[in-house]
Amino acid sequence: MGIFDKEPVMFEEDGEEDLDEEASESGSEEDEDVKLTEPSKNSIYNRDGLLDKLGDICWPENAGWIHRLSIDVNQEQEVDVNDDLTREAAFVMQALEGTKEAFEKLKSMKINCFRPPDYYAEMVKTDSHMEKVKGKLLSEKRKIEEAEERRKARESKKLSKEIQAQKQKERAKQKKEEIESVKKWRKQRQQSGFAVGEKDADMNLPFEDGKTFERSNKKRPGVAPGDRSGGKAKRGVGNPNKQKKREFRNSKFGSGGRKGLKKQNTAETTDDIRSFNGGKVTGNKKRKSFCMTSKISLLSICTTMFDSMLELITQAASNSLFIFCFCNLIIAILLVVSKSSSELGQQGEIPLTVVINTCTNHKQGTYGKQVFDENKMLRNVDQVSYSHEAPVVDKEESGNIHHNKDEEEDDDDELRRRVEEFIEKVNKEWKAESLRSSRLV
Amino acid sequence: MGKKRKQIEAEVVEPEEIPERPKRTLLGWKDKSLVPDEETDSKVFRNKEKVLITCSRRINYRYRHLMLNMVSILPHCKKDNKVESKATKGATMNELVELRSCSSCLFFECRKHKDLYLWMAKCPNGPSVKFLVNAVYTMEELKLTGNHLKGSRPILTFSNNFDKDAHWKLLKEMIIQIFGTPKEHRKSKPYHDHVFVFSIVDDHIWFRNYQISDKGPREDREKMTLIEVGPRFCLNPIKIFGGSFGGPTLYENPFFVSPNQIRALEKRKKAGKFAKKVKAKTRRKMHELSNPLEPDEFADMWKE
Repeated sequence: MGIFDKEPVMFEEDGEEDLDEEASESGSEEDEDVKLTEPSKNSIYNRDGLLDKLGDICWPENAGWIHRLSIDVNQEQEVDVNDDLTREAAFVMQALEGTKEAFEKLKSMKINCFRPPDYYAEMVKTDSHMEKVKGKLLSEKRKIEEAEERRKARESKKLSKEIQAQKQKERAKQKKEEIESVKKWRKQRQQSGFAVGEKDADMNLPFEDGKTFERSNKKRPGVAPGDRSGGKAKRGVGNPNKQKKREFRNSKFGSGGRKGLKKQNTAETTDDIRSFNGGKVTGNKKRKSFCMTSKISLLSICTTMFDSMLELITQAASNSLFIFCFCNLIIAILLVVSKSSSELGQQGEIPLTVVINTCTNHKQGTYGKQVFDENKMLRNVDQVSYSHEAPVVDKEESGNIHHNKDEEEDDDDELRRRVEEFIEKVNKEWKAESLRSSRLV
Repeated sequence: MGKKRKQIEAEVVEPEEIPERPKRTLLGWKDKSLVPDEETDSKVFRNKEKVLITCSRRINYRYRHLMLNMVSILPHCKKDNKVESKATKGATMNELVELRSCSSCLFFECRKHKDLYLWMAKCPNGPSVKFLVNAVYTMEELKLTGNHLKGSRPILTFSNNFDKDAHWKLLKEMIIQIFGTPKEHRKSKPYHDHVFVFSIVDDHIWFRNYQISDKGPREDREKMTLIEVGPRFCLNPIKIFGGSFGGPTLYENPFFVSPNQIRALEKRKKAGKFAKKVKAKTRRKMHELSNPLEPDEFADMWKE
């Protein structure tokens, strides 16, 4: 005991000195781990003192285990401090073993360990706190589940196309096989011979057309690219005409869509005259239409020409007889011209009658058709005259002329009749005029 | 007076048959027949442990919550107000403990708002231990999901390391007395539904608190599961003193480095960068001088 008493004192003194040295050393040294082992030899360790004190505070030994409730558990392995998982696991194992032992002891003492389910008392953590804990656990669980679902969805998406293709192939295969089998069966039956009747031979099985591998024409309703309703909008509810009208009006007057070009003309739309009236005279009838005005203008030009001519003539000669003679002169000239070319005499006559007509008509009024005919004739005559003015010697042209003649022969019969009628009319009128003039005079 | 007469009469009449009335003394009724019983009763152990739990001023929120957790776990404790930091050591603490008529104390001392020191002391003349507390997880952590009765007596489990050395033995005894709820304490509850774990790993005492939950039938103890309740902490013993909050040092932890020292070392490490560089340079030069290079054959090859 004496020796032991001395040692702690010495240690203390040494310890103090050494501590000072250590402090200075530890500062200068670079390696921190090494310095710890040095003071270990100099630290105080009063084992006896410790054991004494232990004896002092210790409970009497006859106090039962029930007061202590302490269990010593054998720790077999050295646990690494830094490895959290194993360390905690070791603690749990220790606790489990301890509790098992303790419960055995308690049971032997006939003490109930477990709390009955209807025993309600204050707990160490409040109910509100436990609610928070529960909430957190549930949210974690949900997160995990969601993550799983998302991963599965992603993977299935990747695989879905492949699976689809495979399934389609399989279906096609199956179909084929079925068809093949039925055909085989039928062949067999045919070969083996059957007495059932003609009915079976005419079985038109739907898959024997040879059209099974073509796609059906059924389309999925309403999946146009511009369709923003997803194909589920009701199409057949409204009147289709009204729908079309609505769509047309939307496209024409509505906004949105491609910028700019909707309301501009294109090559097709400029020539589109569907919106116009189609030749009918509608609206303001006072305004003369373009076609009529054109025709009328031509006529007016011709008539004015003739009028002017005739006015001059009348001014020159007051007598109607003179006028009559002048007209005949003109006719004669025309005839000569026409005959020299050995053309249709009828043609020569015709212009004459036409001229007469003009003379009569201009005073009384215009007969539209007659004027038209006159113009036509005049043009013919011009043609003819032009052809004749070219050298008569030229036989080719005459040939041409002959051709022209031949074409016009059929028309000339009608004209002849008309002309004769008009001649009679004119003669009558001339007579009437002469009578009137004679009367006046 | 009447009783005396009766007693005398009783004694006279039937000295052996009638049991003697207990003698009244200042301390209480004293029955002769019961005297040996009382003596045996006095031997019957009654745990009258009371723990005073206090903390110093300027304590961190985390450590304050740890202290409050300890208060809720130990039903045989008394919580006291904050203690002034200057006057913690020595006499004042002992006085405080005696004032509150407690037999032991758990004093949470927080230094520099960072370090927590735990004093575990048996008063009035018992040993005291100073620990440095690490790795604190309070009961309010949502990851610690267990719950148990407030005031139920815990089962204490120790790893067998505690029996290997004297100071561990002392610590074990102190822990049993302080952390174990006395039997038939007023605030204690009947059933045993939680277990404390004290294990020594790497010369630290690790504390865990688990709830014992049974899902299966009671007889089947294999289906016991443990759910951690908390709190969690790790104790690093610094010194063991012979007296309460002072006295001769009985044990000193050789491996203990105070957190201040650690921080100082870190700073010095960073500060000495330049000096180290200079040293390294000089070392390199010396090395080069001492080991001259052989002349290179190809040195002049690319020279122009």
